[in-house]
Amino acid sequence: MSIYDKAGVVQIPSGYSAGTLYNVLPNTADGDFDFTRGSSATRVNKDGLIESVATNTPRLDYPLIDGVVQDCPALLLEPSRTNNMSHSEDFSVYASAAASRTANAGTSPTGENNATLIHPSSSGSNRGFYKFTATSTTATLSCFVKRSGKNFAILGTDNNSTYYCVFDLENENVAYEATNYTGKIEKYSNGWYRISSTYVSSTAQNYPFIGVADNSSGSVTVDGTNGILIFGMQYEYNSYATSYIQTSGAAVTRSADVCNGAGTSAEFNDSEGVLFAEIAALADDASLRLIQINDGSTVNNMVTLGYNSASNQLLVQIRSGAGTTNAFTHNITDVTLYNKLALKYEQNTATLYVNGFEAFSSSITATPIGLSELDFDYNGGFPFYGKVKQLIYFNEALTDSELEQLTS
Amino acid sequence: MELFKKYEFDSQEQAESKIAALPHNTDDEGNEWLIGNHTIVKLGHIVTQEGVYEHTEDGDIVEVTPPVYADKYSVDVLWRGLDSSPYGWTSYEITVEGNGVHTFLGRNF
Repeated sequence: MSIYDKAGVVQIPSGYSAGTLYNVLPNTADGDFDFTRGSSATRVNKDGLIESVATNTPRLDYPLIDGVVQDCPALLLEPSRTNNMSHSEDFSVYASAAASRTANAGTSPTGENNATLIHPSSSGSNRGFYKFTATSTTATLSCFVKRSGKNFAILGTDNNSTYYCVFDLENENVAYEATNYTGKIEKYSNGWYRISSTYVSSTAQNYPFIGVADNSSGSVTVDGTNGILIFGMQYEYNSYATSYIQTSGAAVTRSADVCNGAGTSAEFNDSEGVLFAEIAALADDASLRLIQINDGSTVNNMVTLGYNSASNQLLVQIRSGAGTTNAFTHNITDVTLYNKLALKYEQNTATLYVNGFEAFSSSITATPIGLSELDFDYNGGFPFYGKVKQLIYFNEALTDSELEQLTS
Repeated sequence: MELFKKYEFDSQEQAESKIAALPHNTDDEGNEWLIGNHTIVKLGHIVTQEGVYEHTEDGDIVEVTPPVYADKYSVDVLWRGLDSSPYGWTSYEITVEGNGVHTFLGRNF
């Protein structure tokens, strides 16, 4: 008998339609997740290309590891975000800082011939393009870039080294960060990288800038049309970049993903059970991001697992009949990596396993009553935003050996 | 069902008070969250006239003419499950040509 034969709800991201994320188990309409998102959105498809996903449709996003598309997708759940750059792909409306551009000069991360080549029009420092956009005290600029004869890209809020990061596209690292700015580089398919500059500064400038360089100091020498390809400039007033939001003349908002309502009382056991999740956070931003089994209407009865409002910390909550909430926390190395978590509840005890090891086992006052629904939120609040490879509910208490096996 | 509406308020404080008056849930620890999965985008005082900028030979961006900002505070909302603006919001509705300065991905105003 497999451990999975004990499962009541199994979500392995694979099947979906508009409004529904299908579960492997239970095999009933009531068992599936309801899904809504008021806008369209984008994902990385199985070919490693960015594509649009329609309103109210779940996103199965294919992970890229070192630029290689992985076989199994993850469910991507993101908060609402706005791309404040009015033109994410049309760089003809950006002002030049001693640089030239050629539209439709290469294949972009969408697979279309709509990347723009930029190169210096004179030798010097801080060559590129900028466009006035209002700023914020915390924000993240991101852009897709690819080498086309030059190896360094610049991204920041001004063409001034006080306000940008420089990225080494040959050695795939962040070569320079201004004070208050943090750079990040992620490898995509076909030689593309997504670079991002996050700043926490009240002195950020109003000129989001993408530039080309020969080195970490931001200087560049004219060498014909050697430069970099660019695509998808994005400016989010938050501390990390999210999936690409296309704009063409106005700022654009992607609505939040909402995924909840899986299962019925038939799938859940009030007396004992295990909630298992293989999940990764979008960022370690100390926000409550919760997955919960509850009684379908309140949080008077619930089993909750997720990220706490503290850096790299998990939160577990169990509550019965509106009584005392039994709450436990556990620190882990990195919430942005995939972690396998299994929360077992049974009479008098709650046990958490993390990546093959018991994290804690603590007494609880009572087990919940009337469990009937699995949600990626906490009664509509503190939604889980992140990536989900597996979410499984077992309606009996697994053994320590099984929990170790499950989370290894 | 979603409803895309644009609003102009006299100030940020007025906009915040309208948002705060919408139905919220509260947990045992006093944390609040908006009910209804609406998407509220605070656009703020939008630029009505773009500034003029120059790039000097030294490599600096110089503001020749500053941008002009609206007096009103703008908010766009994608309401979920409503067929009209909530009570107290209707008088602040505006219409714009096209999408104006903001829209929602895959939608037009």
